[in-house]
Amino acid sequence: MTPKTSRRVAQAIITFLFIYLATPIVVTIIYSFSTSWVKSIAPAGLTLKWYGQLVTNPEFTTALIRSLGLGLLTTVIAMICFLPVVFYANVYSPSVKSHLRFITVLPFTIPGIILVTGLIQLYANLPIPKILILVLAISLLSLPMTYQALDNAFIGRDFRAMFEQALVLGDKPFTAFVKIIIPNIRAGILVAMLLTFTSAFGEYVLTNLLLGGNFETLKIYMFRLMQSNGQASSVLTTIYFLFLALISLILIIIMQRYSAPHKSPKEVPDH
Amino acid sequence: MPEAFLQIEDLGINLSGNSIINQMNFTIKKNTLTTFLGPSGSGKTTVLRAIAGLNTQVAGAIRLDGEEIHALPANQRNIGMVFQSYALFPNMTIFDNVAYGLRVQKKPAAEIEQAVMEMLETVSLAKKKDAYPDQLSGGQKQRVAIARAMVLQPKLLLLDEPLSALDAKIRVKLREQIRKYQQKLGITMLFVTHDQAEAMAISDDIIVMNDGQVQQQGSPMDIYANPANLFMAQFIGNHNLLTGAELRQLGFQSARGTAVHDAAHYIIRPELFCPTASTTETSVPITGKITSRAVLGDRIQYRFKTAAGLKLKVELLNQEEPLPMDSDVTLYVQERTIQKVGATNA
Repeated sequence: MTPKTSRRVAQAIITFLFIYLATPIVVTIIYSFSTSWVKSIAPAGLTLKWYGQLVTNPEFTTALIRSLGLGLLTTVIAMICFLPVVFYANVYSPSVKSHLRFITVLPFTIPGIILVTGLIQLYANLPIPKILILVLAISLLSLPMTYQALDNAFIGRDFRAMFEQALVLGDKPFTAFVKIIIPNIRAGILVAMLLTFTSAFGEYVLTNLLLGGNFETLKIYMFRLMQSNGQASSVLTTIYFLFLALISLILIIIMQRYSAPHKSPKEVPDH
Repeated sequence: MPEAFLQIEDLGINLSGNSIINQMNFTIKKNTLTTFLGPSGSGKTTVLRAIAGLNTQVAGAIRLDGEEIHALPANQRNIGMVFQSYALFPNMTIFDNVAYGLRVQKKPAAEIEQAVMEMLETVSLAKKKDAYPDQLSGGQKQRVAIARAMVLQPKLLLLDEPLSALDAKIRVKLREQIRKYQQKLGITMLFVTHDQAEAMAISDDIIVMNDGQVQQQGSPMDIYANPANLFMAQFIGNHNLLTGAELRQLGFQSARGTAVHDAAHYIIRPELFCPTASTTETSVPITGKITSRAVLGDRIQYRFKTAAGLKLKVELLNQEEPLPMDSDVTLYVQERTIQKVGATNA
């Protein structure tokens, strides 16, 4: 196969994949604006009625607030719990990292249903609110992403020397951590926060199994809506998709902005 | 003699259950530059970190200027430290890096500004005050790290192989600058290196370490000329280390007026061979062949095999015709230059 032919084959495969993946999204977005779309190639008309209905629906607002709350709470807990651990492992005990890596992939290997069964059995007789169990469980489930994003932030600089230098210069450990470590891993922290938030915001299995109808999040609401109102469900899917696209865009901007070092405008001579 | 400014007494350091340093003792004097010299893994940095308060599993006593400091945390010891990686804070400008310690001390802004700018002038980096560490060369970063430590006027400044990441020419230039800063500001410095030339060039005093023990402490000349033990004789310089029996084989019956003992060890410094006999001193002729020759610029290094089969290192100034290869050559060594290992006749 000539290079030109192989390039064309590659382009064709990529184009096919793009169409295959993008079509459902585009159709869903169009459907969310349609007055009616039954047995025809194009929708009968376009309207913003479904958006208006959804946004003014108190069930939607409540579900949105619950999802946002769940996302924020999980993110805060994940950062408070995991950031010091990742810092300690990277700076003072690199040998711990191999164990940490093993632990962090465990959520991938345990199906949600098994995790929920275990959590219910373990905490059923304890006076702990199920919402707290849920938040902690989602924090653990987000561990692979949170850990990896934080861990990557510690690559490439001698953070131990920087931290110890701040101590030798007279600073206290906590303020040295805040003034020296956090600003230099801020990109990793932001990425970890966004990934944790997104994962918690869109969590379905644990929330549904642990709390079910008592605590309807956006995802649970979306699935319920799919069974009753196609257009409203499309509107919700579109909003959800745009939200994820926005998060992805922010992630890309963060990566581009913070990954480049301060550029020197010209060659700096050594004296 | 000035009294000990830093006093290390029976220092013991355990890391992860392993005894790294055991019963170590040494002192350093005020306003001097003392070098910790030793091979990699000898424990130099471990001791330095213990003095700075960064190793906490420490037994024994550390006294600085008469005060017990081994129980104090690192941020209360009034000791400066320059790390091997410089440890500049990438999120801060050069000015902010140097001002960091003064800001922790909550000094007035005007005082900080003046002290930082004076220090940046001293290290010739005042024009770079608004630059970030990523915008500086290795040598400039190293000078910022020194300025940041010195601006606090610490009682003791520790430097952990601060030149090891730099190329040879900049190393020489910067080590001279470090010595200049030390003398100008009257700071007591403890400098870690594994580079003998560096240690010899800038130190008032050298402490040689191996396997977690101090092998010898003394002036560069003393350390070089009078090695205290076999390790020192092998580690320092490029000496020829011979037993008394081998020395007799070369024709030496005495060394510095003392009879040669067969079981003792002696050194002949390679630069003390002469192509001609001394007219005023007792010289012993040694005949053999040159087996290899390397021109080092100002000197020529030879491998010399005696008629009895002993292999010796010889260094002569590169000022005349090089000695011929593979033909008989006679070199002369003065009896008074032979040094017994462990003797204290400095």
